[in-house]
Amino acid sequence: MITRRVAARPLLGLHPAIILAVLDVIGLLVAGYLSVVELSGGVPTCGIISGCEEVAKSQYNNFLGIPVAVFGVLLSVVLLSFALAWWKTDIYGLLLGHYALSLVGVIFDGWFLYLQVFVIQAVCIWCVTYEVSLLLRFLIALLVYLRQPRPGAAD
Amino acid sequence: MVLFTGAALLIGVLIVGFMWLSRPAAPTVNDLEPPAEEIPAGAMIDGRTMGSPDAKVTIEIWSDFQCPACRTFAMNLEPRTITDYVVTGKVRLVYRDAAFQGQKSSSPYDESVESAAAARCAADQGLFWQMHNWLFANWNGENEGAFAAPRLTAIATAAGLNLAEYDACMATGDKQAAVISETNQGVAAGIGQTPTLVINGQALVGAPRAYADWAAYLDQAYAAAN
Repeated sequence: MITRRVAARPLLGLHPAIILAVLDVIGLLVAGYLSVVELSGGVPTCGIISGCEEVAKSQYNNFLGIPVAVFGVLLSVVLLSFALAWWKTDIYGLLLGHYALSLVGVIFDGWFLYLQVFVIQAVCIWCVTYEVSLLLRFLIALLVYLRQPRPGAAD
Repeated sequence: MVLFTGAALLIGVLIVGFMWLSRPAAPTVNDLEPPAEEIPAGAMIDGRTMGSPDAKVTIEIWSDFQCPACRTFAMNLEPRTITDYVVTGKVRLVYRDAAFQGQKSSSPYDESVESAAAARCAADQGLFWQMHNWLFANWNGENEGAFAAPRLTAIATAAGLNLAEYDACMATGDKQAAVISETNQGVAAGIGQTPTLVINGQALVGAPRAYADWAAYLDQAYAAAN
């Protein structure tokens, strides 16, 4: 079933994959900025809102010795690939893949937001931007799924 | 859909669970890192001041040992500044406490104030800048235990302090009060961010990233003072 092609029902007059892809690019840019800064030994700039430095330098900002932003880049690249592939092919499984992977990301981001608020006691606005973009991607993918004709129903 | 949701929830929970189990423990007294730089001979140290009293340029460094940008300045820019400008008699550094990062913690133990007090106790033994370097080298997260009392003691020992004198100094609470007093003075004078570098009276909020930019700034201040 997941390899079947089903024409996507437009969302806001667009193929939903385009909306997901735009959000994926936003997430990729945010995570990319954080990754480049942190891997080069710097700390991200928060502007007038403080908190990014504290989060970036926290010991919780690394997983297996790698800044968590790098995982955000990887996730966004995979999600963007799924969105673009779904846009071009309308293969139903790519929508489900985007939905499931963004759900994994949302669970992780919920945990990281908990760490920021209750453990590190500082909130990084860049991280929150990424988290909001990921939550939107998950919710949109879910909404699209609920509105989308099932491959079985289309036959 | 149910299968995808279930798999995603399972993977997400497994990742978070693994992270929870492998979360970093609070720093211990056994994992100290020596600073990369030593204080060069001829630095003319006097308590929290370094450099000739006749230097044309005085830099007041308003800083917090728990501030990441202060750490970046101390570890990346300060050593070359000392070599190129302080030892050569052009610049004098004066350390000032702006120890407010610890206020974000709900714990009554303030790691910013305690670390700054420890550095002041080191100053009494003529070892402020050594302690300064050891503190920054061994900080790795705000209010996460890097400057818990036992670890501060270990850092003081590693920095070469007389421990009996250090313990007696920390126990009086005078240094902690002095740190809070200077922090309040700084806030009253407009110090709201760390590091703030007051160069011959001109405040520079934050530190330049590149040494070349910083050196150009110092050259300009030196030329203006002559």
